[in-house]
Amino acid sequence: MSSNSIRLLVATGLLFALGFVAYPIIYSIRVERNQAVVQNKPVETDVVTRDEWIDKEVDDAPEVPKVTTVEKTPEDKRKVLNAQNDDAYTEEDVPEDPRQKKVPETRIHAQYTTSLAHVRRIAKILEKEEKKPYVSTDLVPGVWDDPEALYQLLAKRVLDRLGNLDEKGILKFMEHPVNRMDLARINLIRRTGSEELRRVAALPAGRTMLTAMANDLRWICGFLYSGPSVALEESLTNMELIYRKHAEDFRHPVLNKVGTIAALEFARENWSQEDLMARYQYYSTSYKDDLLNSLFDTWRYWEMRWIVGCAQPQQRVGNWGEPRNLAWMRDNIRLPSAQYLGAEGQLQYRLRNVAGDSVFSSAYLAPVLPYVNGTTAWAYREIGGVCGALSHYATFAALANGLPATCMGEPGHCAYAMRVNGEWKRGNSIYWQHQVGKTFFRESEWDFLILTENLYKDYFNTLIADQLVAMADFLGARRKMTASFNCYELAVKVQPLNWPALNRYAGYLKVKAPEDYDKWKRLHDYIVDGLGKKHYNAASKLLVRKVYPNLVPMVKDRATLNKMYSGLFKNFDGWGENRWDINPTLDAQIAFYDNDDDRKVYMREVVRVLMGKPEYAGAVLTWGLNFISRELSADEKVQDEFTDMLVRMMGSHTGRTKKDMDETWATLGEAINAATKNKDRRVFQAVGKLAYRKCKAKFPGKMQQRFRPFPGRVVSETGLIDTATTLGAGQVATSCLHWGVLQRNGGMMPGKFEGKAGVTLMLEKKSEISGVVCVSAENQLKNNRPFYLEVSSDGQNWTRVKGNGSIEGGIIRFDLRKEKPVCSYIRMLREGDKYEPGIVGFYAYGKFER
Amino acid sequence: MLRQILMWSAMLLGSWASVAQGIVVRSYADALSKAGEKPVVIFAYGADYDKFSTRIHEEYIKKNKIMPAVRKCVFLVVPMYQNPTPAQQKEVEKIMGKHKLPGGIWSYPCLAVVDKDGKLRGIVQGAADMKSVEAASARLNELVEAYITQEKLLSKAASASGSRKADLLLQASNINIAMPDLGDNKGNMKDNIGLGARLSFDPIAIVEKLQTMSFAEADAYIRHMIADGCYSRRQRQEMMAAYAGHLRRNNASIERLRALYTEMRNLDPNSMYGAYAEGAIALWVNKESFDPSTVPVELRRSDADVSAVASVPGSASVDTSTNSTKTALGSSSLDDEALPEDEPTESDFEADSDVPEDAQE
Repeated sequence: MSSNSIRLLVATGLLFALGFVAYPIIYSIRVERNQAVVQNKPVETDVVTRDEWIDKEVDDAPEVPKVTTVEKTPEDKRKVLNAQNDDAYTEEDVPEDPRQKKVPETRIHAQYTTSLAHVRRIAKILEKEEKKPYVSTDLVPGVWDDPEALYQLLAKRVLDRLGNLDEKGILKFMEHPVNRMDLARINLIRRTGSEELRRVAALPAGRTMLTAMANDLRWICGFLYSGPSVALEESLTNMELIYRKHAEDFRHPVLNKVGTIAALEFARENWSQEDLMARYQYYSTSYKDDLLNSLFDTWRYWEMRWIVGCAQPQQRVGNWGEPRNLAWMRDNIRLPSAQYLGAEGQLQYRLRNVAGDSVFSSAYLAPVLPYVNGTTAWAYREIGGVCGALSHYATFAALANGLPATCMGEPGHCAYAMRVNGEWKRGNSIYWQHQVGKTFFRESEWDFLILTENLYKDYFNTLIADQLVAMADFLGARRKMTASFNCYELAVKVQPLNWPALNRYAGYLKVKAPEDYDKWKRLHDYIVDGLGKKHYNAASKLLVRKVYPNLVPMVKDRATLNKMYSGLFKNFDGWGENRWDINPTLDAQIAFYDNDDDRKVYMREVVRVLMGKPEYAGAVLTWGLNFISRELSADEKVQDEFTDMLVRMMGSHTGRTKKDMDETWATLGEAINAATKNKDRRVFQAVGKLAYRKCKAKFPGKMQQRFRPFPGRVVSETGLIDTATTLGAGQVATSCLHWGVLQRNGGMMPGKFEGKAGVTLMLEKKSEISGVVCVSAENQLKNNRPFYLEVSSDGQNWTRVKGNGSIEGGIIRFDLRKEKPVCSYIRMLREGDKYEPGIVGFYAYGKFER
Repeated sequence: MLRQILMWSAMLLGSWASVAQGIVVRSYADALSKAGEKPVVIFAYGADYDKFSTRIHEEYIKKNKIMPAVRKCVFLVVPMYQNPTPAQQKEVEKIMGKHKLPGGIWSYPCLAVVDKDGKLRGIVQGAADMKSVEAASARLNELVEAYITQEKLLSKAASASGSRKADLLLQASNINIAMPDLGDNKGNMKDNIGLGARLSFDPIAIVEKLQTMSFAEADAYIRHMIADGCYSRRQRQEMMAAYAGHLRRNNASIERLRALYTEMRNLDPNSMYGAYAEGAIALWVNKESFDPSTVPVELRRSDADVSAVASVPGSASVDTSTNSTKTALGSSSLDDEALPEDEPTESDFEADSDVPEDAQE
């Protein structure tokens, strides 16, 4: 090898080494130049301006002149825009457009085909835009001094671009981010109110913040179209406070969402600004320090609401959402998202601490609080707790790490819901009656949680629908009714699950076309076939609240009405997402009938449809029996006629197989349990007898234990008996055995004795009692504490009549031959701690008072 | 040149030696098979969802900083994935096979000390334990030493019998680490050596038992149990908590409460129940309410590097060292107001005229 070759080789090697060393330095400089930095988080700079967007997307984007100033309106000539809420449809003082006075004709689905195809194209544009959001510079801070003038300018600009206001033109308008930006600005001014906006602008960072947001399409859409936008002045005031201190954060896509949603949610919940700042600090600091689950980086604005808007932000011992607690949970319960479901297992279940203090007393945690720095979760981890603590622990562990979750109330219990891999799951749940803590629409049933998820998951369609509603609102306010109608209708067509849009449209219909049968009927059918396909509860609620009151009075004949009513049930496949309360729907439907004949036909034609669905049979029977005793004329004959009809309908749906019998048994169990809850003795007895007829095999053949009776007849046989035990689902299914407890052969009922909780008997008539016998399922009762008896004539005021019952094996006897109390209610209680023996028989002897 | 080669070789050997102090394995099954007198230490961390975990992995494991503390153990790294790709799923399957990590892991990253049966015997987890390499190493060292000592005692107990066996087992269970599963022996031991009583101890049962007792009866009952040497310090503290709760709710005198809570605290001042007793003295004896706003809320766990984690709320204050003369809450005074030696009568418990409000519940 020649020396030249060696030199060349060495030089190449040196160059390569130099490049190897120098590249990262040069590269890092290049990166630094392009990125502003929020703490250690790079700010996104990859945005699209109007000119860039035009090159990429279309060639006819509208010109956007810079709004450096607006002509100021003298104070006395200002046309103040009041803040628009969801129930108001105000019109501005503008001339009515003669071409826009007509309510447009109702369209069938096929007539939307072209528009829906257009919407799909817009959705694609929005999808692209999400990656490269559109920003503008046309607004300057000074314009916020006169929001009315700005509004007029924007309104003119938008109306000019909309042209003749046909649907095609409106959708064409929606293609351009420039236009959507102006529409959002209009929406911002209208929903906030011009005076309110002026006040926000006057805050130290008000103008700058408003300008920054109104020039950033993603931000303003996140503010307006990410769920409930209420109390916007308060929201903007909140946001200004955050912005004043952390303006730079708002340039970062994730922190922008945190700040915006914190502002919105704290205003919606009416939480303090001090807590707002603490919450913002918690999530922004945790994010900047890389301490949150990586999924947090991916949440959209609406998803942030669960997390940043979680409850109990106030710094107080016992609050779970306060920063101290969140920080502890973030640092000490770090898990993959799926493992937060069940994280309550880290706590011991305890009603009392080791000192014997009840979990419900302040003494329970108090001594340990200094040790745990007043940290709620840490205190419970050390001491243990009951369902409330356990469910909050799991929920807030997820929330503290940036994952969506919410607590749920259930009857006498606390559970939680957690979103794992985009799906809501129940945690620590034992009942179907969930009251979800965090809601978007103030509807706390499970069905609405899933509806919210499904609605916003279909993100781009919902975003388009929300903007169409904003457009409809604006056009309505400008007295362009035809176009406004078209926009509302298209909005609910684009997104049939859009609960707020459906409500808003129904409201507009009520104002503008209250007697347009076709429109109402179309809306009805649309809800049944759209929202009602999966979300039965939501669809029923909407019909009951918004549609039936307007539509039903216009329906001419009973057959059409019943057909319409039963049409709602045709899509029902089981309970849907979760069991729900069907009673208000049936109540609302039957309420439009004012005579017994019509009601009977309703039951035969409509209720029968539901009874044919096994899941609903129990609930519907319960409803029917309650309705009969509550609403029908006092004439017992009529009541019996209805009861017989319902029972026959029930009977006609029960087959003869074991499975059929099990279903009937569970159904009737539910009905009798509801009757007990409602203290409806008549229904309790009717269902009990029906159960005995249909499912005799489920009852005991004969009473196992023998005992001596007291003089007189068994006056309890026709009564109603109740236990203090909270029944689980399995126990509800066997509730007809409670009726058996009052019968000769006996039944089975869980007994719970603790304080004033015991077994309560409601008699058919006021009676004079000679004695009471209680037969326990245990052959040898614990006799270290006395059982005693109380009687009452009203079920409210009780008198103790007998010191102690005598216990012989499993039999408790109260001899009242001397006292002979006269009463309508009897209850058996026990001194001391909780004791839960099963009860198989309960008999009161004596005679009915004449 | 030769010197340079030798130097590099020495460095490489050194780092290899530091790694080789523990037995590094690649599968859970392999780890269990190699465990016995020495435990398995599992480093489990959030690999695809938790940047804090990955930083700890980088710092503690990849740079071998934790390895000196793993010196006597079998060591296994288990990545936890939130949404594993097929390749990642395979990777985890390869490590774990059909096994699952033991219950009791509440947070990742963690260092779990596991025995040959896969039972979790101790764990380094959470902000306080994992705040720095030094803290994690110190805690791991403690656990490993405790494990080894306990295993030795258990091994001796296995070949002993009678009271010697009982003594060894009690010594083993006194060590601050979970006992292995003793299987059927648990029931058999109950009557012979008292270990069964310790293992089946239920503090709530004591609360219930005390409910119907007079003060003097309760005192005699608790004293008798405490005198039985089979219960751990924590259990004795729990007995005292139950007893003191009974007294408090039934308006016993402040002096009696003070003496009892002081005794409870002094039994183990650094434990949670030591702190509980001190909190109880402040609350129900001295009537001082706790104001959490006096404790600052620190949101930031770290600045740039993980070793600087110091001021995590809820993690910084507990000194678990048994040699500390400070109580868990930082007080250095250990008032020794022991209860009177003779058996108390009901009059000894008489209430003060000024009973604290909470005591009325």
